[in-house]
Amino acid sequence: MYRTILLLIFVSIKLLSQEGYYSVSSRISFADYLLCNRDYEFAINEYNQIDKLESNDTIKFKLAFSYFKNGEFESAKIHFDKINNILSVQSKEYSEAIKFLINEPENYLTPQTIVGKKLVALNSLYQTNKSEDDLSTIFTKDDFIEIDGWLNSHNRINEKSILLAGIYSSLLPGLGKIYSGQTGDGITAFVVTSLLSYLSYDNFKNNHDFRGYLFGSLAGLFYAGNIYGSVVSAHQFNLKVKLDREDGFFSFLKLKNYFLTEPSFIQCR
Amino acid sequence: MQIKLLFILILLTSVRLNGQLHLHEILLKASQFYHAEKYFEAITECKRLIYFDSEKLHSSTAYEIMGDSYKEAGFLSEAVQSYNQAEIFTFDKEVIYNIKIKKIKLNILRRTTSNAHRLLNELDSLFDYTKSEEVHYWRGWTYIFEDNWRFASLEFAKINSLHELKNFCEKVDNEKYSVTFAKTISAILPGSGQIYSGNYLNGIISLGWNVLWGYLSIKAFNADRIFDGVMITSLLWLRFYNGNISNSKKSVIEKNQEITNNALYYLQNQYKGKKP
Repeated sequence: MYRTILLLIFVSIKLLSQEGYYSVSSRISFADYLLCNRDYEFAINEYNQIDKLESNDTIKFKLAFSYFKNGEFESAKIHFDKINNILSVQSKEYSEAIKFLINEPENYLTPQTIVGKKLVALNSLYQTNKSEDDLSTIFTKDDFIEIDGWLNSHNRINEKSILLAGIYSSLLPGLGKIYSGQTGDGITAFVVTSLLSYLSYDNFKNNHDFRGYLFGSLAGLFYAGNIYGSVVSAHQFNLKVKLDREDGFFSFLKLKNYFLTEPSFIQCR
Repeated sequence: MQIKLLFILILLTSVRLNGQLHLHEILLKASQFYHAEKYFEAITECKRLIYFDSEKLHSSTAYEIMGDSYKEAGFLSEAVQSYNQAEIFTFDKEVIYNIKIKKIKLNILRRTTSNAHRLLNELDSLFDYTKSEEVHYWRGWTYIFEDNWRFASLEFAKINSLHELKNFCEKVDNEKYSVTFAKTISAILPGSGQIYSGNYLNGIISLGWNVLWGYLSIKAFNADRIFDGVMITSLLWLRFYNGNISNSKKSVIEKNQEITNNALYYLQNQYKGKKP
């Protein structure tokens, strides 16, 4: 009897040992926990280990997904492209989103998935304010309202004309700066140029020619510098608008998770 | 019936013991990776242990090893977070004390010295006088990283009036130059602040410029050329005079930085005692 008990204990321990914390199922459960805790670097390492032991499309997808979330787009694409089974549609969507992210959007190839089409349509809308496709057929009604709202808020700020900024400043010192949004600088430029011009005029009037020339040349320098500064300000303003729009566009895409859906086996509780 | 119950009991115990044994194996593995300087692997094993240890028996140790690994790998913020977790999962006063010391060292390294002071004050209030020596020691190091060598010296003196670091900090403090003194003497005699901090050429040039523009200003006023006098004084002399004062401050700060860096270099490479 005791021998049987001992044998049973031994067998159970032996079986449990084989099924320990380094078994494939335990590793998967641990890797999923890391993934859900956004510990992507560690999840990648664990999924890579599992992939070597027991490879399947779900593991490959999770591995590629971890790379994607960790911002390692090239590696993510390599792994997404390896999937050829039931998950291939979702993998293709991720793959096209990565292609969109790592290539210049202008050089983006013809999309094959709905996600790719959405990204291309949105990019064209962002670049030219019009899209070749009928957006209502690609986006859901809610998405469409959100995109419309986003575009309206970002198109409200118009770029400044560099030429106009220069002309304004040559007509009235500082006006070009005010036009470019630098009101304080504009007023300062106006006051300094006016003061120096007045000092020059006053000195010439009182026959202090040297001082007249000195202040006159200083006023000229400030006048020319102010025109140049206005042109630079307008250019900087345009650059900031462009960067803000670009930043807003990619933030919006990120917020929408590039229109990608996460498969049920990845959604964390 | 009794035999059946005994059998189930033994089986359950063996299963539980087996689980604990495996958890202990993970802990051992994490520790081995840490000592082999394989920090990524050590952290992975700690995370594995934390995930599988449903009873949280090893969580504190795992978080502590994780914190050590993060620290060695240079991820100081993650290390602090791990130590915080390690502190949560233990009731052992000695373990809590050691974790707090590790956190203090990290805060010294991160130069978040206000946090280090807060933790040291906590240690002061939580633990008895037997630990006070160590508290003074790390408070001294905190002052060193705050560049307050005089206070550091006073802290080390509380441990021992002949403490090696007390003498060292005192020496560094004496070597350092006074910013206020440099600015004051520069205001009285332009260039003297730079000369005081060892920048002789800079000091002489500064003095030269001030003498030149001062002379031209006075000459203009004496010749009743008030406009020229005002212009030279305001646009040139005052500019060089103020520049000389701020330059003397800059010169002293640079010199003091050099002294501090040399002192820290010595502490890092040649000092044999405990370091953060």
